[in-house]
Amino acid sequence: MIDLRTYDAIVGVSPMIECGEAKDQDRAVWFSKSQTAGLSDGLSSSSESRIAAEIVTEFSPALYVGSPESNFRAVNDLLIAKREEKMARGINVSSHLPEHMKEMLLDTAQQKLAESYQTTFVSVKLEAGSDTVKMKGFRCGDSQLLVFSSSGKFLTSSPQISQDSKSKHKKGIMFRPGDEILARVECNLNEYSDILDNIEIEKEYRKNWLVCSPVDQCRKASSESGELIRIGPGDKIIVPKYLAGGAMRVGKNGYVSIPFSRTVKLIPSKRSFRTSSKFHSGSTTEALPDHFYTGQWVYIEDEFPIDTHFVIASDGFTECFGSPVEIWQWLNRYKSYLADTRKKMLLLKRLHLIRRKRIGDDDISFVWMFPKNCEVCDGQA
Amino acid sequence: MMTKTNLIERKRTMYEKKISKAEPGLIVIALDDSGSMAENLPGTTDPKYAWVERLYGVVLKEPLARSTEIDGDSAVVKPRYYTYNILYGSAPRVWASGLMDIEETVNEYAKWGNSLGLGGNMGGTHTEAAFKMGYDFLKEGVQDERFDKSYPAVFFHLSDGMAHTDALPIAEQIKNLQTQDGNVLVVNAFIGTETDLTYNGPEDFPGYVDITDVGSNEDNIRMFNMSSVVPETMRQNLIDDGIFPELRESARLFFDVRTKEMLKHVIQVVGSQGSRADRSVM
Repeated sequence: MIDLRTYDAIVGVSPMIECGEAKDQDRAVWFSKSQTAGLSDGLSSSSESRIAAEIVTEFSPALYVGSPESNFRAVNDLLIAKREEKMARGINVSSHLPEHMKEMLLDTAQQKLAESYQTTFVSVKLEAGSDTVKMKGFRCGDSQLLVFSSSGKFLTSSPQISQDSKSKHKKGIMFRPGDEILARVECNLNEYSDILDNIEIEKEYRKNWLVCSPVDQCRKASSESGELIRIGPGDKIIVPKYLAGGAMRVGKNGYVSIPFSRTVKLIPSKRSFRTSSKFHSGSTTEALPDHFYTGQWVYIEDEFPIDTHFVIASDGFTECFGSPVEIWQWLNRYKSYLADTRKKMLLLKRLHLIRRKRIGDDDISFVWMFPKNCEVCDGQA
Repeated sequence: MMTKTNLIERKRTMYEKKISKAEPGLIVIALDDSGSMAENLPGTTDPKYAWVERLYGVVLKEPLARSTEIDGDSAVVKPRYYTYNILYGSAPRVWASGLMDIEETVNEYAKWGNSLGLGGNMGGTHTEAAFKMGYDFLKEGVQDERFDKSYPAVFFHLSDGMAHTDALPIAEQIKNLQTQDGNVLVVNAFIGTETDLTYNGPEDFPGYVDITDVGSNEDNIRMFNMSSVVPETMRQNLIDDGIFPELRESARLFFDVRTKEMLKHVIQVVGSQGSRADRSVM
């Protein structure tokens, strides 16, 4: 009989090995009492990402107490505060270097600090009843949540797994003279206090401007000539109210149609709203805290049959397999090994070797959650 | 011996390696410093070589950023990239001390006031000799234990054309060199040419997929044929970094440089080497 109250879990974390560099930026944890799992994959291009991963995973149980969104904001605010503190302390470079080299290095280091404390994150909280289990969760970045039936049927995932790799890189909106785009009003510019060091609109006039999130193109000019504003996924725009139909008729979260105008200003999504960052890191991974503030994270609530299995994992783990089914098969084939600490580490070492040969090594982490007293629990650590 | 299964497996997994200290990236840069490079870049009042010097720092910026870590309160540069720079005119010469890691490269560039010593002073345009020098270096380089398992090396060539020699055969030889992760990539940037492709700038540059896109100019056709097809990982990097967000699949690594903006973006292709963090595995 399944314990109505609890799930159990197997956690696997193994740092990258033998790549000439230490990484060890993945963190994963299962809190049995609160039935909560958290997993973070610190970005290797971000300094202090290991600390960020630790902070966010350890915070997992607290996320679901009270208002999840407020709690999620709080932990992201903490990451930003730590980043700002680090930036304020400054960076040292060797005094023996030529002046120009010092400048380049300091410039690079400052840009690095502006993107410190970045990590992906996925977390779930389970509330098991008699017949069903309620799941709540957060996700930001390329760490994944996978859901399986007790027989191994792949039910769903976050993000949605698509066979079409092109869909992962959504094209932006091309905004040209003669075009009109549909956008959602976020707020007045004077209410958007986190912006924006180089905005050339004096403060007294900002109440006459709107911050909007473009949704889609609603009219396209016949000619594709003329200047172009390329609006990428997650980008926002600043629009004068007269262009959006007048101040009185436009409200927050309302939708407006905006014709092309040179007055429209673009806010690229990859900029952190807390710190001015001109450096384009090139990172293709969404990560906390920056992508929290641009809205590129998800909160999930769902309900499944009581015998459902949940897996959260870093890309270091999922990239070892060709499909969710292969992950399920691996977990179940080696379930008794995974229940033994020493054997589990040997298994993970084998995954590292597969990764290293194929695509390069990375940290590996996962949390596999299953109903307590189901057969997989036999002999579990 | 490579079996059919091995070949299929290898083809499926090419150009997927990430850049790391254990498997660093190798970048060979061949810069034209012939007399014509002393002419002004179209649309500007500065000579082409001055723009190249200025923007070489942009070349180094991405690899330097990817190699720099913050250790406590100090910035530490790890050798994740190496460069080998060839300057050429009537004859080629190696810049500085030849193969250098990224820190040494930046140091050398900075030591001379952010300069490579270009001046449009090297006479004619013996492109074949420059490519031969690059080939001789890469032939050994791809077998070096530092690079033999890495993401394939990039050979980046920048010229304003009017080559006195045909580098196509030697370019093909370079393209046939390989690491365990794939064939060496040859990139050609042609300053000041005109083609049949319609675009405004880097923001909508679609890339040259078919030879008919480059027009009838013989130099264009030759450079197009000398260039590798962009691997998907590199193409995604160029899109995600906003360098060429509209670059089409299977485009050649051939770029016509019509403006200084285009030059700035083309020169950043060098930094797009290596697979990055997120890829959909399923």
